[in-house]
Amino acid sequence: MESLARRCNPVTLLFAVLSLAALSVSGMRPAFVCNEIITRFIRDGVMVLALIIPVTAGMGLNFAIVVGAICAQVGLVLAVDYQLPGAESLLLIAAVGVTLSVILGYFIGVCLNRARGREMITTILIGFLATSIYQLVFMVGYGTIITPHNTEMMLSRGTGIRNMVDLQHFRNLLDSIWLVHLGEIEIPLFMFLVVCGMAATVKYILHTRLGKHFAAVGFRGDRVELLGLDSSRIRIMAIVLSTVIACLGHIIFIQNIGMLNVYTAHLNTDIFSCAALLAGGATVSEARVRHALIGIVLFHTLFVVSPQAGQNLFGNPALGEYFRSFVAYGTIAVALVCNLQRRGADGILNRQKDRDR
Amino acid sequence: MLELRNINKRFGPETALESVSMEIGAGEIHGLVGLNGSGKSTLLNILFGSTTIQETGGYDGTYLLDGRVRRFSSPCQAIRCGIGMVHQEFALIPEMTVAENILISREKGYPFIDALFPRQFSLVDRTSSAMAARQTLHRLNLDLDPDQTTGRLSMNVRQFIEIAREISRDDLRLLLLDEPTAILNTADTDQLLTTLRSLADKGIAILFVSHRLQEILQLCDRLTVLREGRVVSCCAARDSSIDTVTRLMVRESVVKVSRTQRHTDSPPILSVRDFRVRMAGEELHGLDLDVHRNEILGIISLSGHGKLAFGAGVIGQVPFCGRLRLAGEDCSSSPCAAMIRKGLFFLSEERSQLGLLLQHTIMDNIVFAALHHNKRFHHPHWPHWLQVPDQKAIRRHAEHCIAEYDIRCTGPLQSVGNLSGGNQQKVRIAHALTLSPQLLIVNEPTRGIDIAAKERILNLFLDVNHSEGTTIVIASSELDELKRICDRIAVLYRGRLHAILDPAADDLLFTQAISGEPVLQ
Repeated sequence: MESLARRCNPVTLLFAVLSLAALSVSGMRPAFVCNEIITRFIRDGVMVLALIIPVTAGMGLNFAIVVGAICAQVGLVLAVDYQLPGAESLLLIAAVGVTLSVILGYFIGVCLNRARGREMITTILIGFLATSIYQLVFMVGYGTIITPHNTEMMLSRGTGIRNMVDLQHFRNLLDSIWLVHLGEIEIPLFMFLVVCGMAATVKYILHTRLGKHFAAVGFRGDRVELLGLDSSRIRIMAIVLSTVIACLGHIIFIQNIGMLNVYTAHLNTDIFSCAALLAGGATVSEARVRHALIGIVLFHTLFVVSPQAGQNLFGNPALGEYFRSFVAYGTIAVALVCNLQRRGADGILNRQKDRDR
Repeated sequence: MLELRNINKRFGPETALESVSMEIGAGEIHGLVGLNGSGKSTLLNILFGSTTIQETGGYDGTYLLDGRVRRFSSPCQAIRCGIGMVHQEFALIPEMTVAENILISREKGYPFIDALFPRQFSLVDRTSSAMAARQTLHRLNLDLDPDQTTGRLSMNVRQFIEIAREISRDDLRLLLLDEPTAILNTADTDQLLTTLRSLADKGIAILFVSHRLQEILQLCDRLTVLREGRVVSCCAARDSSIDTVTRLMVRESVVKVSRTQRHTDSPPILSVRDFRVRMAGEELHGLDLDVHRNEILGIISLSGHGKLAFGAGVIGQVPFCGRLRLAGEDCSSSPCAAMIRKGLFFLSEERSQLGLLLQHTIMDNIVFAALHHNKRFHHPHWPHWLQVPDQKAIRRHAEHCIAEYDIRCTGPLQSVGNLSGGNQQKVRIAHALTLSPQLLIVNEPTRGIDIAAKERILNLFLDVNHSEGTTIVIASSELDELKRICDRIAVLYRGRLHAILDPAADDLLFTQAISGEPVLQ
């Protein structure tokens, strides 16, 4: 019992209590909440898994998964532009997205190797930069430098893509495979298995040789060179893998939503994923697959029920809406503070060493 | 096999190595000796391709391995060419298990998955890794569970793991050992030397760096003596004696400090009863010991029998059970800071991890505890509660310490991380003495330090004990040193007090006591 209490993360506990409280106040039907959570588990699950490898490699939360999301969106826009049918478009999107994310992931890795000890803030800024460049390309580049094939998705002035692109060929393409009904609860079994498979893949990677090297770099980035491991290369691998997984995660996300919000769909994916991971009990220096899975369920339970709970408590749904972002940023802040307290003097010393290199 | 020709290395304006040439053949054990700062570490760094060498402008000269010119820019390349190195400060990852540490970058996989995936992406087989690690440990006569976390093991076991990592390699051709025996006791050292000899018999070349000349002469085929970056001698080990080698290493002669023992009947300043400390690898199981005011007490034991746990427990770095009275006052549950304010200070054996702020200047390190606990060096013009440090006074004090304790540095503003081991130790002692503690507990004060610096440090202890009446407890595995400066020597066995012996007692008596045989006093 004592060991259980020690192992339980205060952040996770807080989330479980808040979720249950909000659930009881909201008065929503459990079946409805359950359906929502399953949908969101599939929608956001892979994105959260993308964070685990960089944390293991000692690079903290990779906010640059936004870049992975952007890669997926580039693929999506191209697929719509060429008006391919469902399955083929999926292949194109995956091919374009993964190729782009390998290339961009490499560059992010190179940047982070120059910013050792300050990875998290660097990834946040890389995310902002990538967003701006991406928006510039699709707002101005499309129709001027790049010739569109599908005029329907263009703005009426001829340059720039519409804010909202409909993905009719693509909507719920995967979600409808193996749809299982359990009473009121609807489970898209195939996608559920895909997310679980992704989780298993991440777990597998962590137990491979490369995974052990990630852990070694994460624990003692300054010493592994002496052991014959190339820490720069290993860190780049971690970021590339993370970006690729994020890209795949975002493809799943968009096909589930069925519409592409060209300029905004990728925003906040990083914050919500990080918050979900931390809610599951991960820290900035340690994350496991189980943290991600628990975190998604807890975080999204609170996410689903909080507006209704706000409505019932204060008569104002906006307050619940406000509560959502409060929850997301609050989790990150609390988890970071808890994490810093736990980190011993030793860890700080190592980070200093890293910084000086 | 290895040949160096006219190696020159400069760090900025300072010359670290000057036309160093040496040769090591296959199966040869080559000793390398020299004082701290004579260029041994630099030479090892060049051989191992350390990145600091590249960053500070590389080196001149030819480095031949098996007749081919090499110029490594990272340790990875050196390792690929079959060079292994045992680091003095350990390159272990404390959070990982023993097996993972030993087999790092050579993890065992499942043959089937290895065939299916690229090497990097294939699953690690924990059972066969553990088995391989266990076999390697057996070669070192060490029976250890390979699945336990390395960071919880004692220093001497970690030293063996560090060595096991290198000898488990099949492609090892040249092994560089940097002070591998500094923290080992006699029995462990003998074990290690036997293993090294059998490695050499298999044709592996070994470069052995140590401050212990006895071992060098006993183990090595040939030895090279470095002084101020130059090779002053290269000769067969059997033709040399400790005296001749010492004379080559040091220009001035070293006077060994010693003093006559006194018997103090003063009341105990510190007394512990049923003192239990659960420090991994160095546990105390109920120690009863009195430390008298104004004495120098030595503590000796085999490694793992608790000598290092005493200081750590008393200061409160590791929690303890039992009673502890400091100057007649019960302090069984005081935190570290309170103990320091009561006039106690502890210098741990983990020099860089627990004793120094490596990034900070010598000046900051020397006054740190005094500034924070004794409220010294506060600026006189500012209110005291603002705790504004008086930089001028601090600098004056640091300069005084540098001169007094003979700290070799560029000035009080040099960062401590750049100093050699002996000078770092002097900074720590200056730091401790700035507090003017009543009781100072020191673990392994002379570990990994050359003979000249060693004597200076021992002399410092005698001085401060004589002039300021500081009580000093030294936990060390160097019996010879303890015998020279202590008033009494406590021998611990299995975490309990076994005997308190007079330093003048026979060596044989000590050996018996240390190994747990009953001793008549």
